[in-house]
Amino acid sequence: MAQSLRVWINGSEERISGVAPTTMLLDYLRASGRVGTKEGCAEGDCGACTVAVRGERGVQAVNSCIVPLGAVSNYEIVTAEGLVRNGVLHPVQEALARAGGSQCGYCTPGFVMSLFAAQYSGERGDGVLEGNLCRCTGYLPIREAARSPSAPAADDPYFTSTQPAEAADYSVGDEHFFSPRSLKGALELLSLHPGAKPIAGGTDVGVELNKVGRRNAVLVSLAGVPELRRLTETAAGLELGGALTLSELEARLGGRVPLLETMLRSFAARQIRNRATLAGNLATASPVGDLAPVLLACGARVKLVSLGGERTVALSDFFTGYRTTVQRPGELIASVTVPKPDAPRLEAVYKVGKRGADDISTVAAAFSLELKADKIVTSARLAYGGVAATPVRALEVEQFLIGRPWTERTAAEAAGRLRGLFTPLSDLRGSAEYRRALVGNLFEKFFYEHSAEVAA
Amino acid sequence: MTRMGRGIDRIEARIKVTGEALYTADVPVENVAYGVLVGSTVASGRIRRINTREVERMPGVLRVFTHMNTRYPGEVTPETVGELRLSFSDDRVHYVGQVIALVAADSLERAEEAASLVRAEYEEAAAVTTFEMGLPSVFTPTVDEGYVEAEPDTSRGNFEAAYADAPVRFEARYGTQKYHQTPIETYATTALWEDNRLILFESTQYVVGAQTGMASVLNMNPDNIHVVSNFTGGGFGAKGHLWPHTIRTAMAARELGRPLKVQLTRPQMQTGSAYQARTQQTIQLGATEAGDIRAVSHTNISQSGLDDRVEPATDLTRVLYDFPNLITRERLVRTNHNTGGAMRPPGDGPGLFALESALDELAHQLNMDPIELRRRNHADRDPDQDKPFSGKALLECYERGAERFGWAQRDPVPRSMRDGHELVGYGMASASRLQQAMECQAAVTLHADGSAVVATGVAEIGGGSYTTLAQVAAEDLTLPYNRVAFRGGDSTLPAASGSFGSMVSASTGSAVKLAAMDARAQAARLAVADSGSPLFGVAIEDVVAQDGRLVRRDNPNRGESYASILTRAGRETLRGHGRFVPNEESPFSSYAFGAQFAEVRVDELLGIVRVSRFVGAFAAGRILNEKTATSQAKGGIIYAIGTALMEGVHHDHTSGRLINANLFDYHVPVNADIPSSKLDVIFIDDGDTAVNLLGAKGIGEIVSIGVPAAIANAVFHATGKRVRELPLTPDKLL
Ligand SMILES: Cc1cc2nc3c(=O)[nH]c(=O)nc-3n(C[C@@H](O)[C@@H](O)[C@H](O)COP(=O)(O)OP(=O)(O)OC[C@H]3O[C@@H](n4cnc5c(N)ncnc54)[C@H](O)[C@@H]3O)c2cc1C
Ligand code: FES
Ligand code: FES
Repeated sequence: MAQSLRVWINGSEERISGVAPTTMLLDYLRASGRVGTKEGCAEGDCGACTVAVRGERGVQAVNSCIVPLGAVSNYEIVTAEGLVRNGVLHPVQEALARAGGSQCGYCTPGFVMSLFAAQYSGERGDGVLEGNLCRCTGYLPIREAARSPSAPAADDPYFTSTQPAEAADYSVGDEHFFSPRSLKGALELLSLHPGAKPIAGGTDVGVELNKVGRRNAVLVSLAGVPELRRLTETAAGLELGGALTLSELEARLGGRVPLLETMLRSFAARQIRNRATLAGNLATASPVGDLAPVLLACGARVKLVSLGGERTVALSDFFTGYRTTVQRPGELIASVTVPKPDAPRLEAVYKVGKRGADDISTVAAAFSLELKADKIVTSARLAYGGVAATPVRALEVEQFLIGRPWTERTAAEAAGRLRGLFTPLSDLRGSAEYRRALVGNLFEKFFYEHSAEVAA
Repeated sequence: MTRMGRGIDRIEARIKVTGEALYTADVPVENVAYGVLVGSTVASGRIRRINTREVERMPGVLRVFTHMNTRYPGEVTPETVGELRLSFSDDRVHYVGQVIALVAADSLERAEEAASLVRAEYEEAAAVTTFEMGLPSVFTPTVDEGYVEAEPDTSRGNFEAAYADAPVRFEARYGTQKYHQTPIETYATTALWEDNRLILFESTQYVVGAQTGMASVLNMNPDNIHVVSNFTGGGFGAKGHLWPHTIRTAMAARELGRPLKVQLTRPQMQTGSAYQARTQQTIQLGATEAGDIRAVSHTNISQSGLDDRVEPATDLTRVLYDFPNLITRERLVRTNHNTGGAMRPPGDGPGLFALESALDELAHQLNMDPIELRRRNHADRDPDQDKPFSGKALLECYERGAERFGWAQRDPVPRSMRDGHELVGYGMASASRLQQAMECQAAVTLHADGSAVVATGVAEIGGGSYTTLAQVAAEDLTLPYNRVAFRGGDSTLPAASGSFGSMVSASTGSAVKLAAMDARAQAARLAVADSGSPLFGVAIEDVVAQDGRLVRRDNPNRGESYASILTRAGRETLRGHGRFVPNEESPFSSYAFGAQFAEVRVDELLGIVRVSRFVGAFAAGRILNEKTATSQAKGGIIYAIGTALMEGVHHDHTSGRLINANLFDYHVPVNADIPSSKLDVIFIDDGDTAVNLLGAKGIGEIVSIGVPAAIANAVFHATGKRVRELPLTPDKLL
C-alpha cells in the first residue's frame, strides 16, 4: 500500500504523506499555504473552493471541499494563484477584473477556476457559472466576463505533466483509499474489507465525510475501473457504465436519450456533474434523486455485479424503500441499460426546484407515452421523484391512460387522478399539497407543451 | 476635468482575481492553534455538565473553554457587540446553537474531531421556538440600554377620526421571514497576543467597532488592540458587530499563550451572527375616492431573540409620504433565538414590503395607477421632522424609471397580460433610505515623488470603498487616479466609519475629502512662503489645484507640482488630516429615494415566479464611481430577489433546531434566477449639496428596499393573487 500520494499543484510535483486520504483537497491546499482557494460551505453548494484538475477525465472544475485527497492521486491541480504567469493575469482573470465581476471577492477565485476549466471543455454560456454562488454582484458582470471568449494557449503552461493520470492507492495508518484498476479488483477489495465503502464521484460520500467525520475510513474508488466506464450501444439499447460521470454522459449521449440529456442539464451544477456518477445517483436511492424518474420512464434495467456473478433487475424493482435498494453487500451497480424504444414516443422531463438552477428537485417528473396513429395511448410510463419514499411510477394512471385517446380531457382526468395518487411529505421545498398539485399539473403541462407535436 | 463619477476599475481587482487578497482566515500566523465552536442542542435551560475533561485528554487538544472557565473582565456595549449577554457568561442556554464550548487543538482536524465529541447534559426548560408560539405574549418594548433605541409608538394628526371618516378604507396584514445575510465568507477570527497587546484579524464591517468593543469587554485600552481586516468576504450586516465567539477567541488565545484561529462553519453562521428578524405588520389606510390618503396606521410586531431588539419597519412610513394622520407602533415577541441585527436593508426592507404592497392594493381598489397614487401623496417636506429635504427627486425617479421600464404598456387589469403559458405582470414600489453619518477620520499623505496615499481604517466588504475613497482624494488633489494609493482595514489607521448603513462614501468620504483639502492647503502654504516657488507671495485663497499642480487662480500657467513643492522644502511627505463630524443640527432631512419596477412571469401550472425584467431609478446624491455604484446597485437588487422569492430561516417547532442552516437548503439566488441582462439602473442627480461635503448618499441599502414589494405587486398584477407573506414561493400561488 502506498504511503504517499503524488500530485502536481500549479505545475510543481508534490508527494504527500501522513495526511489522511480522506482529507479534502481544499483543506490540504489551505493548510499548505495555498489560501487563494476559499471555503464557503464545505458541502459542494457554493463553488468558492473550485479548482481545476486534470485526471482520468481530462481538465475539469471540481469542488475541492468534497474531493478527498485519495481521489486525486496523480492529478494535476491548478488554483487561482497558479494562473498568473510572469506577472500577467490569465485572460479569464483579466476579463473578470475588467467586468467588475468581483466585489467582496470571496467567491472570485472559484468563478475564475470555473471559467478557466470551461476553456478546456469548450463549454460556453451561463451553465459554466451555475455552481458558483455570489452574494454581491448579482452575477451580471460575471456573465459578461464569461462571454469574452478565450481558449487555452497552444503551449498550455498549466497542464504539463506527460504522465498518465493513473489513480494509485494511498494509505495513512488505518485509513485506506484504494484505486483498483479493474472491476474484479474492486469487488475483491470490497469482500476483503467488509466495512469498506465504494466511492465513485464522492459527491455524496464527500459531503458525508465532512459532516459525520472520517475515522478509519476504507474507501474503494470506482473512478478508475474501466469496465464501469463503458458506453455501449447494443441491439437491446444503450448500456451506460455505472461510473460514467454526468458530464461524460452529457458529452457522449449525443441525442440518443433525450430525456436523460435534458435532465442532466438541470442536475446540480457543472462541478458536481464533473464528479457525480450515474450509479452513485441510483445507489443513494434518494427519493429526490433526479436520474431515477427519468430512467424509470425510459424503462431502464440495472446490472448488478458481485464476485458471485451478475444479475439484472428492472429499475422499477430496484428501490425497496426509503434509501434502500435490492443491492447486497459487496455488490456494485455495473451499468444501466436504456432500452431502445420500438416506436417513437412522446416524452418529456420536468424538474421543479426552489430556484432556477443548482437545486435538488421539489418534484421531478418524466413521462413517456406511445401513441397509435389515431392518438390512442398504447403504452405509458409516468415516473416521479420527490413524492414518495422512493422514486416511483404512477402505475394506476399509466393503466388508466392505456387505450384512451390523447386529448385534453384524458390529460385533465389523468392529472386529477395523479393529484390523489401519492402522499408526499411537506418540507422546506414545498408543502405536501403543493407537491400533490404538481404531480397533476406537470402532466397537464406535458399535454399542453406536446399537443402540437402530436397534431403534426 | 472631473475624476469622479467615472467608471474606474477597482484598486484591488487584481489581487482578488488572483487569490492573493488575504481574508481573515487566510492570514498566515505562526504557531497558530485552531478553535472549533460547539453549539447547544437545546433551546432553553441550564448546562448541568460538559465532558470537558474527557475531551481535553484527546490527542492534540489544548483546552476546552466553557462558562466554567470564563470571566469577562469588562462590559458589553450595544453599539459594538451583537449580543449583550455573551455566551459563556453562565450556565444558561437561551437558544439552539448558543456557543457552549470552544475547543482548541493543535490542528483543525483534531479540533473538529474533539468538538464533535463534546457532550453537554442540560436541564431543559420550556422554550418559545417560533414567532407563532410567542405571539400571544406580544408586548410593547421600552427604550433601554440595549437595542431598543426609539420610542415604540409615534403619531401625528388624528388617525382614529380620519380613518373613521375615510370613504375608502383598506386593511391587511403582511409578513416577512427571518432572513440570514449569508455572505459567502463565514465569520473568521484569529487572535494573537504580543505581551499585553492584542492583534485581532477579524472578518468585520467595522474595524473601529471591533477595536472599541473588544476594549470594553476585555477592559483594555483600545490602543493596545490592533484590529486588521484587509478584506471581508461580504457582510450585509452579519459582520457589523462583534459576536461572542470573537471575544472568547481573543481571551482563549491569551490563556493558551498561543495564537488561536476560529472560523465559523456555514451552519454556525445562522446563530453566530446577526439576522433580520421576522416581522408581522398590519397596515390600515383611509383615503378619499380620488386617492388622497388621509389616515394610516402601521403596526409592526418583530420577533426578538435573546436581547429585545426592534426590526424598525415603521420608520419610513412616517417620512416617505405626506400622510396627515398617522400612527405607527412597534411591538415585540420574545423567542428563544439569538439576537437579531441589521441585514441589508434593515427595517425599511420589511417595512416597505408592507407599505408598498398596501399602496398597490389601495390603488387597485381605487382603480388608480399605482404611480399616480404615490404622486398624489408625495411629501414635499419631511412630514415627520417637519423639515425640508436636503434633496429629493422621487418624482423624477417615478418618471424616468417608468419610461425606461415601459410602464405605459401595462394593462391595469390583473391577469390581462400573457406570454404563451406564462402570465406576465408589472409592479412597482418606491424606495427610500435615511442618510446616516458617523464621526470619522482620514489622512491623505502627499509624497515627494508626486504620489499620494489615503489612509483610513475602513473595512472593504465589497462596496468598492477603497477605490471610491482613493478617487475622492484624487479628485480633490487633481492627481491622476493611479497616483493615489489606499490603505484601509486596520485600526492603527485613522478611525473610519463602519461599512454599513450605506455610510462609507458619505462619512468616510467626507473625512477623506477634508484630509485631501488639508494636505493641499499645507502644500499651498509651503509654496507661497517659498521664494523659489512660482507661487511665492500669492494669497493662499488664490492658489487652486489643477491637473495635479497647485496654480494661480488667475494664471494657471504659474504653478508647480506637489512633488516640486515637497522636494524643495526637503519634505519626504506631507500629511493632511480630515475629521468628519456629522451635523446633528442640520436644518434638513436627508434621504435617498428611488422607484423600482419589476416584470415577472408566472408559470400558472407550477406557481413559479421568474423576474424577467427590472428597472431601478435612484436619486442618491452624487455618484462617486459609476462603475462600482452600478455594480453594487445591481447586486443589491438581485440580493433582494432572494428575499422576495426564496430565502427564509426555518426552525423546528418543537426543538427550535435550525432546519436549513446551510447553502443547500437556505436558497440564495443563482445565476439562473437573474433576468438576463434586462436589469437597468438609473442614477438621478438630486442636486443635494447639503447632505455632506461630497453631495454623496449611500446606495448599498436603498437598491434592495423596494424590490420585494415591486415583485409582489407584479405577481398580483400577473395572477390576481395577492401574496402578503414573503417569500413568494410557488406553493403560495397554486
Ligand atoms: C451540491 C450538490 C448538488 C446536488 N444536486 C443534485 C441534483 O440536482 N439531483 C440529484 O439527483 N442529486 C444531486 N446531488 C446528489 C448527487 O450528486 C449524487 O447523488 C451523485 O449522483 C452521486 O454520485 P457519486 O458518484 O458522486 O456518488 P458517491 O458519493 O461516490 O457515492 C454515493 C453512494 O453510492 C455508492 N456507489 C457509488 N457508485 C456505486 C456503484 N457503482 N455501485 C454501487 N454503489 C455505488 C457509494 O458507496 C455511496 O454509498 C447533489 C449533491 C451535491 C453535493
Ligand atoms: S466550499 Fe462551498 S462548494 Fe466547496
Ligand atoms: S463578490 Fe462577494 S460573494 Fe461574489
